[in-house]
Parts: sequence; structure tokens; C-alpha cells
Amino acid sequence: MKSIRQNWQLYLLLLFPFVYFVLFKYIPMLGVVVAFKDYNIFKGVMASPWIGLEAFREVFAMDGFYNALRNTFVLNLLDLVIGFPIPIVLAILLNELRIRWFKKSVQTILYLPHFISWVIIGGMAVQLLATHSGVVNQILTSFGLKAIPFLSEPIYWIFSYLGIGIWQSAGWGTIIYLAALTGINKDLYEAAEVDGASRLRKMWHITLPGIKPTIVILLIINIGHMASIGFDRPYVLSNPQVIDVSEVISTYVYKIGIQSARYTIATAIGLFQAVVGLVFLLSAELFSRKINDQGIW
Amino acid sequence: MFNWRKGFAGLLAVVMTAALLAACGGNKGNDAQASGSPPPSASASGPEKSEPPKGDPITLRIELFDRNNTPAGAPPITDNFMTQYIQKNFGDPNNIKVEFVTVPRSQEIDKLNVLMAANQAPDLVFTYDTPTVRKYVKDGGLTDLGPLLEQYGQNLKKVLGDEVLEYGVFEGKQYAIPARRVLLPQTTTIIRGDWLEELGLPVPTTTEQFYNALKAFKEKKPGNAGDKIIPYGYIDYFHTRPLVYSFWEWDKISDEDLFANPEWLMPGNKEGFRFLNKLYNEGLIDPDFPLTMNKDTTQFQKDLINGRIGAATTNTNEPVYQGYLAEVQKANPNAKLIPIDPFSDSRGKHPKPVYTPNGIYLLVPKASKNAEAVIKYLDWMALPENIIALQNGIEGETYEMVNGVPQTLDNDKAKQTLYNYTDYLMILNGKFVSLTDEKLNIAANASDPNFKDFTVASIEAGSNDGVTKPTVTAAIESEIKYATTLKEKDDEIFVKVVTAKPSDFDKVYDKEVQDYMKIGGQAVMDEKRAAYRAEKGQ
Amino acid sequence: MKQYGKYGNGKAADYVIMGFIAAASLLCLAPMLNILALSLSSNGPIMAGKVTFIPVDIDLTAYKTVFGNAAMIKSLVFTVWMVALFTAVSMTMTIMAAYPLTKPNLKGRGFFLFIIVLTMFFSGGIIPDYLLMRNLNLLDTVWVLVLPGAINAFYLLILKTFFSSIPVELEESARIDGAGHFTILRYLVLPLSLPVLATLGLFYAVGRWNGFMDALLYITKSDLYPLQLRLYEMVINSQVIDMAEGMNNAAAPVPESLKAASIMFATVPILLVYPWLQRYFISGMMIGAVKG
Repeated sequence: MKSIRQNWQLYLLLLFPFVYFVLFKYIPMLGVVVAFKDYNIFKGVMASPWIGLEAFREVFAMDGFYNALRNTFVLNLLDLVIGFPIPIVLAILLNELRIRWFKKSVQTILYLPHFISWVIIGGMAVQLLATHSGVVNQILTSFGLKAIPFLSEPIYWIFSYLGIGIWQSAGWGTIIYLAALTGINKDLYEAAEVDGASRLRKMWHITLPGIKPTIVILLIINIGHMASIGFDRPYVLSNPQVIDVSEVISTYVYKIGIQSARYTIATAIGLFQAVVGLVFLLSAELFSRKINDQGIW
Repeated sequence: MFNWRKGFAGLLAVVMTAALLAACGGNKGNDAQASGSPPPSASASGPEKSEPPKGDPITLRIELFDRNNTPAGAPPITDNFMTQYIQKNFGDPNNIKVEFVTVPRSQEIDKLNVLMAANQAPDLVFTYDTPTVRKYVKDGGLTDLGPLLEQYGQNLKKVLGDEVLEYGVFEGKQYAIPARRVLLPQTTTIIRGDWLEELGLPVPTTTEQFYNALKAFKEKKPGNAGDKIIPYGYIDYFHTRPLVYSFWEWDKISDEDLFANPEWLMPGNKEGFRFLNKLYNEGLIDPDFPLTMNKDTTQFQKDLINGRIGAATTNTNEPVYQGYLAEVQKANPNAKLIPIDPFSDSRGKHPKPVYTPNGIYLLVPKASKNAEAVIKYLDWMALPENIIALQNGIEGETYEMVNGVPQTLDNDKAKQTLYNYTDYLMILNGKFVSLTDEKLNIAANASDPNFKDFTVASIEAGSNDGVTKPTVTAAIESEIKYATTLKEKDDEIFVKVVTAKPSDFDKVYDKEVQDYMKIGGQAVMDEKRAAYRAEKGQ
Repeated sequence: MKQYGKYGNGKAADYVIMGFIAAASLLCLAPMLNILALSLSSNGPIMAGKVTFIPVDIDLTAYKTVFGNAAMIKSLVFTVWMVALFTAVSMTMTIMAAYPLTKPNLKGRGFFLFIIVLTMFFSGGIIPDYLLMRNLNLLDTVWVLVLPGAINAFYLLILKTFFSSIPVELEESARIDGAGHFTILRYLVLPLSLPVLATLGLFYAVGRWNGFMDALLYITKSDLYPLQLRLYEMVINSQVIDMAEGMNNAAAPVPESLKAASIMFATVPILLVYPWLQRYFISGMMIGAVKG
């Protein structure tokens, strides 16, 4: 059949990537078996003694683990609900700008925070948001308002965490949506203009649907990563007063790292996160297929 | 016609097999070498030698921390005065090629683990991390250095001393050689001497005088800090130890208590925290201290330089070696920071924690064939002339002898030669000139000649009435298991108790300590008591 | 007849949008201005906390030190060409993987996608990775920085999604004209995908530029140190890593101005890539392609 003869080209294209995945991803992946072994780095993965699910039992018995897991989900969910839409909105607004030099320079400026290391961001955050000596609160109190405990009380801290995260990543996040926006057929806009559609209607009926495939796939992948969380942002912003809400899995694993069963425990937790994440992703995919007929597959 | 599909399938199979073999080959190599440990190569001649042994030179690989802070104009860390001196004076006479393997300082534990797992670790490695060492011992990855030390390391033993070497004994064997920590003080309190003068106050030598000084700073606001004044800065668990220790009822604390009890339960600890709580509620401490606690000290340094801080308990000599004392003087030539020793207990003493005399652990992986050469290297390093050279450089060019103590010269050559001497001379933590005269050693560590007096005073104040907790050689399993949980709880309790309202203080303290015991504190205490009694008898 | 909606049209809305975005921009620009100011100020005012957005006591020694540091310059040159190599390899591999996966009738497509998605979650950890690099003799070579990260599954999926959005009719008409897959890919799909290709290329490049953890473990030759690794070591060193080390760290601490200048040195080059790429974000590539 014609299609098979054409398909050999496709398989040839897939060859190198396939080798790449097998070699650099799946071969080392065998090391995940460390989660089931009392890993002795001198004996190697294969020769280390088997302990089965003991590491998992130990992890699930740790007090701090559930707290860290809960916090991970809460912060990720908030990031998703509040933070995910922002680059989309921003990209659409940027798209509306008509003054070209402004539009171009602003795009670059908005993503600058993405390039600042978290260590520095942490220091700046304290300088700005400290309850008594922070710049923001000093301005507030000079106007007679009450100081806000941005970083020292749990609920406020969560909002600061979200806000700083948005500040750091929203600009960078617009880039992919801006790329998607270029693919929308301009004729559609002209037709809508003729029909007398307002700007808002155009955004809702043309722009958003135009970038929907991008949004869907980013959303699905983000949902898939609900059980994992970056290390830097929570670590750098946390302090003992908010540890109840700021301890997440990544910081928790980092702290317990200095323990005799370090690799085994860390790998066990990582495996747990991976399985949970995969389940989330597949669920999101199925859900999206049902609603949109769109998804990864 | 060539069947592409079958062809590709075959090619894929070949590639995958090759890849699998490649990856598995590593571990097999691992197993083979780790199981039968090769005995240290007995050299052809005996330990006393005068000509270089014949034969091919051995390559001795030594770990070297790379801090990426080489000053402009300085040669690379793998080929500079230090490496050349070592090669010329140790390597050549012993027919050994000394090779330095660089490891970035910041991720040294990860890198070390990876090198050990891949069988690529140098012959001599180091780490500060005790649990890592214990894990290596448990996994059978270290060479027992006891016999070699006896045979080839007499100079080394003399310089380190038995007490230090004890800290390297695990499961009954000398698996690690600890470096000797020359300076033992941990923290020293400093205060603005010029403010004391301005207000007519005495230099505090008791807690009460210190408190009065803080209050006076707050009320009278000397200097020009105005309302932003922070009478007592640098607040965290570690740096308030001297203050809290001075409230302990030492007569009621036995050695076993000192070892086994968590600090929260020591008699008098609560009163120490009540005092801290009082300081907080009277505005004598920075109200934002929880945000910068245990993070970098840039804010503290800025506050100090801007003249907002009245007193603080810093790491001993930190203002000098972190460079901010110089900045304080530059910003305000009239400012006088003086080291003091104010926290006095009921016996009139000034108890404070000091370091145990062991520093970094020096280790030889079991897979190394050159353990003997390593010990000889370290033994050579322990000779007085080599210590002086590796710590101070070249007489007349980078240092000069003043009253029997090497003083680093303030010139470019000195900076370029000595900026990382500590990474070569691993057996000592701090400058060392005498086995017997402590004062000479202290003087030698006055790193910045401009602030010599400050350094000496700081060290003396920080060592005065120093206390170290007893240790046992057995590993306390629960301590390892709960280490991080309890350390975090320490910080959490610290903040809660210090910032509590005075009327709530007792309630908060008692509840938090109860929590602490529940999440592991009790288990650790019980195991420690048992271990102490087992080892020291009761 | 043209009707204007109640809100959102006209100049007023324009100004509101511009104002909002300008405010956001200031918020994003501020920290960079601060770092720039620190890099140009002398140490005294910095330590006194007087430097916010404007340099105080302009002092160029920090930049002189950075530019005079041969190791930093070498690192910069190396990093630039290594990142370029990496981006080329990554984009090639990613395109090669994404295009076939858009064909719904390709046998094994679902399976390929599944094994790709799996790699986003499961990994063996640093020791198995290290052992593999050692066994493949990649340690201390530039390839250890280029190959292991060559395909980012996330970007692969994004590219596949974009490729899928190209109208099927275009491909079919090319097929009728006798074009094979390679031709279609090269002359039809890629030119139509310039914005997303530019975006992913940027993502790969920036990711590689900023990354240093792998180099930390896999590279010992200082010739092969990425620039960010040097920067990381410099910034981290000023913090007390080990209380236990304390006084033993003999080197003078790194001045704030030098840290700031190094940050500028290591960041500005990559910041310039996106503005340069903006020319590829041209819309309307598909106009006229499907008409008629």
C-alpha cells in the first residue's frame, strides 16, 4: 500500500529520537529499582539487598510526609487556578497592542524575572515584604495603614508565594501563546469586524479558540505535574513561622536527604510522585478527549 | 527489495542491546572491584627510605575543592605554588605523581557519592558530613586506616592527637582521619564600644549589664540610627546559645544529662528563653528576625555597617574574615566594635558551646590501591616546615615571621598564593604553629593584620568557659533518623517561644516542648541515655 | 453598519491596556535595574544599603574584573557555542520526532507517545545517570552537555500539537503533487511553523544556558564549565555552606558589586536572543494558502 511505503520515511525520522529515549531515558530508568533496595553505592544497584516495599512503608509513616504532600497539592492547585490563566490573558492583551516598539520592548521586559536566580529573588522578597522593616510595609505604615505580614503568616505567605511565582514566570509564559497567536487567520478578524463584533467578542470567539490546542496541552501537562513541585521557590521564601504551609515534597526530601537511607527514600518518594502524576495526566487526557476531542494523543 | 521494516527492527534491536550492555557494564565493574578489596600495595622498600623507590611512579589522586574564586592573575588551582611544592617535596622524593581532582565545593556530597558509586573516587577524599561517613562505613566503602597510621603516620598522630583521632573511629576501626580544628570557639558577642562610652556605660561582663546596655541603646538611641535601632541583632538558635547557656543550672546537670537531654529540657533553659522573650517584647530584638534567620547575613551586615546594631553574637571573628568589620570602620571611623563576654551564670562563669576538636573527615575509599601513599602524604604534611609552607607560602614574599608567628603580608602575591590554602592543607582547620603554645596558634590565626587585636580578643572571649558535650562512639540510630525533623522543630519552637506574648510564654513553651518529645525527642533521649550508660557505665 | 460594543473598543481601552502592561513591566524591570545599579556602584554605598535603582559612586572595577578574568571569558565563548550546538541538535531531534507523530495512521504512534510521556515522570536518579555517562565515555566532553537533554518531552508534545494544526488539505495537495514526507516536512511544515520553532529553540537555548547542575556532576575540566556554573559557585560561596568550616575559608568574600557584574555578564547575552528572534513571530503565514 502506498501509505506503508511512505511511512518508512516516518520511521526513519523516528529512529534517532527512539534511540535517544531508550539510551538516555530508559536505561537509567532501571535505576528506579533503588526504591525497593537498601542501596549500597559500592555494591551497585543490582547487588544491593532487596527490601521490597519497606521504604514506602517508612515514607508513609513519616509525619512530615503527609503535610508536605498536602502543601504540594494545595500550592500547585492554586498556581493552576490563579497562575495558569495569567500568561494567556497577558498574551492576548499584548496581542492587542498597536504601537509596535512598545509591544516589542515590553515582551522582552516582562520575561526578565525568569532570568533572576531564586536566591536573589528570595533576598529581594524579604527586603520588600518583611513585616516590620520591609519597604512595602514601611510605605503602608507611613500612610497610617496596618502592616501586612506578607511572609510571616501562613495565609498571607501563600498569596505572596503565588504572587511572586506569577511575577517570575508570567512574562516567560506568554511567549508560547504569542507564537500560537500568530497562527490565527487574520481573515477571521476582518470578517468579525464587518459583523460589528466588539473587541471583547473577538477575543472570546476568535483569539481564545485559536490558541485552544496550546492551552489544552499545557493544561494537561500541568495537571500531570500536580504531585511534583519545584524546589527553589518554596525553599527560598520559607521560614519557620510558615513551615506548616511552606514545607513541600521537594524541600522535605532535601531536608531528609542527610539520612542513612538517602537514595532509597528519595527514590521511593520520587516513584510515588511519578505514579500519582501519571494517573493525573491520564485522567486529564481522558477528560479532555471527552469534552474537547483534544489532547496529547 | 530490502524490507525496510525488518531492517529497522533489526537495527533497533542491535542498538538497544548495545546500549543495555553499555549501561550494565558499569555496575558489573562496580561489583567486581568492591567485593575483593585489594590490599594496600606494599612498597619495595621499608618505611624509612632515603632514595626514591624504583619503578613506575604511582599516581596519587587527591580531592581538591574548587570554589571558583581564583583571584585575577593567579595560576589555576591544579598548578600553582601549593601543587608544585607538594610535588617537589613529597611527590618527587617518593616517586609519586600527585594529581589533584577538582570537586565543586557547593555540591561536594553529591559529587562524592557519584564518584564513589562509579569507582572513580580519588585516593583521598573528604567531607564534613558525619552521616555520609557512617553510611560509607556501613556499606563497606572505606579503608581501615588504623594499621597504616601506626606504621607510617607518627608525625600525623603527634599533630592531631588522640582526642581528635577518636572522632574518626567508627565500628571500632579508624575509618576516617579527622582534621584537627585549631580554634574551638563558635561564637563571640560584639558590642558598639563607642556607644557605651557615649552613654557612660561599663563594658558588660554580666548578663544584667548587657541587658541594661541594650535598654539604654533603645531609649537613648546613640549614633544616628534613630528609631531603626536594633539593640541586639543576629538572632537564631545557634547564636543565642551563649545567652541561653548562662541560664542553665549547671550544678543540676550531670555529664549524662549533658549528653542525652535535648536542650529544651535542661534546667534553666526555659528561663533563658523567657529572657529572650522579654527582649523581643521590649523591642530590643529585630521583630523581623524569623525571616532572615539561618539565611544569609547580608541584611545583618548592612544594618551593622549603617550603625543600626548595638550588639550581636556572631561566629567568632566573623566580622574580620567576612570582611564587614573593615566596612564598618570605613563607613564610620569612630565606630568601635569590641568583643565581649557578657553572659554570666549563677556561678559567675560564662559557659558557651565550643567546637569539638575534630574538623573535616579525611577518607580513603576501599577501592583505592594507594592507601599507604595517602598516609605517607598526610604524615609528610604534618611536618612543621610543610605546615608553615602550605599555610603561609614563601617567607619574605607572602609572609614574614613576627615574634615566632607567621604574619601574612598584605600584597598581591600573598592573595594569589594563599586564598585557598585550606583546601590543600586538609589536616588542619585553622593556622597552626605550635603543639604546645595555644597563644601562638591564636596569634597565627589573626588573618588580617589590621584587626589582629580584634581577632585575638574574639577568640579568647569565644573560648572562655567553653563547653563540649560528651560523645559516645556508637551511632545513635534515632538521632540520625529524626535529625532533620528535630532540627526544624528547634527553629520552629525558637520562633514561637521568643515571639509569644509574655502571658502566653509558659503555655507555648510547655506545649511546644511536649510536641518536640512526641515527634522523636523522647526516642532520641532514651536511646542516648542507654548508649551512654552502656559505654561509660553508671 | 459598524456598531461599537459598549466596552473595549477605541482609544480608551488601548490606554488602559497599555497602562496596565506598563505597570507590570516596571515591576519586572525593577530588580534588573537594581542588579545593574549594584554592578556599577562602589562597595561602600552597597554595604550601606544605599543603592536601589541608580548607581552610587560609579565604579567600573567590577566589570573590569569580570572582563579581565580569562576563565570567565573562555567560559562565555564556550557556553555560547555549546548552547548553539545543543539547540541545533535538540531542535533537529525534536522535529524528527514530532512530525511523524502527527500522522494518525502511523502504526505504533500511541505507543511512542506513551513512552515519551512516561519519561516526563520516571527517572532513575543521579547515580544511574552518572554511570551511563561514564560508560558511554561522555564525561568531561561537550557531548555530555548536549546529548542527555536533547529532547524535552514537553516541548516535543507542544511541537506535535502545532504541527497538527496545519490544515490537512495543504499536505494532501502536496502529496498529490508527488511530494514525500521529507519534502513536505522541509518545504511545507517547517516554513509554516517558524514562530513555534523559534519559541522552542529559545526555550531549549535558555534552558541550556541557565542549567549547570549536570555540568557540576559530569565535568571536571574547567575548560568545559558553563558560565552559569561559575556564577553559581561565586554566589553560593558567599553563604556559609558549612558552619563547621567557618573561619577556615581563607578567601576574602566576593564583593556584591562583583557578584552583580557577573550576573549581568552571564545573563545579558541570553536576554538578547528573544528580541533577535521576534522577527520570526510573523503572523499571517497561512494567508492565501487555503483560499480558493
